Amino acid sequence: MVNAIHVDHVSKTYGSFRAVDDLSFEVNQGEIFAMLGPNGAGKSTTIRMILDILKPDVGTISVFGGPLTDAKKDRIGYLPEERGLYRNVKVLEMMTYLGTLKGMTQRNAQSRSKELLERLALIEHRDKKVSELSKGMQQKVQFAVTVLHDPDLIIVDEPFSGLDPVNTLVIKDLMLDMKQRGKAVVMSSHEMHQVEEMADRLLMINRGRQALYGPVDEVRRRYAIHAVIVEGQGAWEQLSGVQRVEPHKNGRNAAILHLAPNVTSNDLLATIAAAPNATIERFELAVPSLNDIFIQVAGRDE
Amino acid sequence: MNAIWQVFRYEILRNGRRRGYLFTTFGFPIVAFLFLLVMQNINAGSAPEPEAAAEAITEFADFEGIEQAAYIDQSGLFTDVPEEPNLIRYTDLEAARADLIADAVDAVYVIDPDFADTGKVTLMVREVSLNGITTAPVYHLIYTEIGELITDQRILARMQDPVNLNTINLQREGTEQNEDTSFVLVYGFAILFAITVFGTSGYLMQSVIEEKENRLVEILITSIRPGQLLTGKILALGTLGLFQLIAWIGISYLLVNSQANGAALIPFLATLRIPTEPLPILAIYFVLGYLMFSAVFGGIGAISNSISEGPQLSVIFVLPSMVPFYLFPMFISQPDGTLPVLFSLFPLTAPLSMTMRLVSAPVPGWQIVISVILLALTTIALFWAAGRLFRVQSLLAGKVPKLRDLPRLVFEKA
Repeated sequence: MVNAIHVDHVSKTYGSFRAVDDLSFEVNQGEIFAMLGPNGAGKSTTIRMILDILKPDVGTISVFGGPLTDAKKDRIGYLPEERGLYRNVKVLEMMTYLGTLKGMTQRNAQSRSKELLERLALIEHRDKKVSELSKGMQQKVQFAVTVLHDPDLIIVDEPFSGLDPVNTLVIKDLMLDMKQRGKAVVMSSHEMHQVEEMADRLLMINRGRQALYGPVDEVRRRYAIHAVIVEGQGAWEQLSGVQRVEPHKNGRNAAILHLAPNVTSNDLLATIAAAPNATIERFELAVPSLNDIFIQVAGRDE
Repeated sequence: MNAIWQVFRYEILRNGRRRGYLFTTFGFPIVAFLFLLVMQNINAGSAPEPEAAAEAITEFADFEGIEQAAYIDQSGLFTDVPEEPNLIRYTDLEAARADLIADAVDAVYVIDPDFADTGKVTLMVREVSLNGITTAPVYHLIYTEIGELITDQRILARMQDPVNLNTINLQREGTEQNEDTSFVLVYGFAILFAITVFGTSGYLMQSVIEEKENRLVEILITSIRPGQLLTGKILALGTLGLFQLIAWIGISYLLVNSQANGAALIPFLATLRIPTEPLPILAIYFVLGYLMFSAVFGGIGAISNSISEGPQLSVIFVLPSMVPFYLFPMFISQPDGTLPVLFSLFPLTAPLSMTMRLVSAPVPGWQIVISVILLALTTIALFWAAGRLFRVQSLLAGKVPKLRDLPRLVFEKA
């Protein structure tokens, strides 16, 4: 199957500032692909190059197996980081217009807009001006505009910013639904738990360069330390196989037990079970959250 | 093509519903007409009818605010003036003064012995009132005195209003209008041109800046090409401008020719003869002028970040292009003069200059050809530059670029 996006050794420089530096990655159909990175890492520049708003200095980008054409643009939905809607235009009218710009017929764009407004519980606001909607509602309308023409690829920059938990769920469902129907979803987000929960693969950019790239589970495992997190009572330092103990920063009563190279977590569990004065309430592998990895990788390059 | 059409359609619907546009298109000509109607009625009440035939002097002269005037002739010039009920002759200054105090007369004119040489007359009044200060009784005395010598009363009457001037400008031979009506035509067309062209290209700038300010432009240009967006907008607003122009001419035509009781409501306007021959050339200038300014305004919109910045920048182009308007007396008096010709060749001022010249007098063909070619080339160049700015700059949020950065923005690649 043809990749939705293929970025091949792409660089982009603004004056003396290297925004993107020899970046390569692929996005497949039917996956949610996360782009992570600190502010100013080059995510937006990369997205703009994929969308042909900016041209790379070197390298090539292909979308759906070739350069981006006008026809292919109609197969892409884009939610920019800086949201934009006409403020003094009625919701349905604006959605219909933006739909026709994506090659939909007037009638088709209108009926599909109504369908989405219905799904997002905004149908009764269709004749209101955008400026009369709450911020959360505007966000939902913005997302609806992105998926209005049922694109094969959506690129969403911070899709959940400004949304309450209920609306976050609604948008998440829409994105998972797209994935299930074989569409490619590229999301750039700072909300790591969302990425962890939803994304299949990720790319982390730092200072324009690739910092991490691969399936989310694999990346987390790669960053897993040879340790377990335990919560409970016990003289952890004295257990055999434990090299050193450090308090877990989130746990009230938790500790990270670093294991000796030849000791597995199963061995340690057996040791704890056999120890006379030890009780445990929690026992898990010390797989770092993406957040930890993010901070670690971003901090390392400082 | 579909994308341009969609933008065109949307912009027509959106801008055509703006209150400002609707008022300028339909309200303005009506308000202007009502204004002229009121002005005409005010004038009709005070000014003498310019075309009036000479009439004989009336028996009793009207001395404006004075009911009873008196005079003492110390010059001895007015011997043949008969006694009149409202202009009484006194010989004794004290008697006249007494009657003035007693309210028997309202004003006493003492004609100085040297009147023939100096024109000196002393006016005595009881109290100062503006109505009471008039030279009308003295004129009356003079005309009456001369009237005895002149047998034709019409000549006498003509002396009071000797000339009804109708100026024919030799530079504009072949046109039969007088200066007043061509003044109205030149002025009218210039205003019409300025409001429609600057008005609609102003809307264009506004709609570009709005999309930038709303951050919509990033979504728009990932859907269609910036050039398509700009083209759709320019065509839509140009169509609205053209419609405005047609609406104005149509409404003006109906109103000017409207009649009440068989007479034109504004007789002065009814004498206007709008020249039809230059209309096709005027249309070319309107279209090219609009396109040129829409490119300028579109480009300015692309580099402005807020609604307030755009107009500030556009003044740089609007002010010089309006220079012919400030010099319009020159365009009326010597349409073939050096300055008007230069202004009508220079692209920025050409549309307005040519509009003003074409409605007042025929313009040599070579001037039109050169001016249209220069204007068209400039328009193409500006369009190209606007397209470049629209592409690169519209995305760079933040601040308006410095003047010295503009060439780089136009020429560098994205």
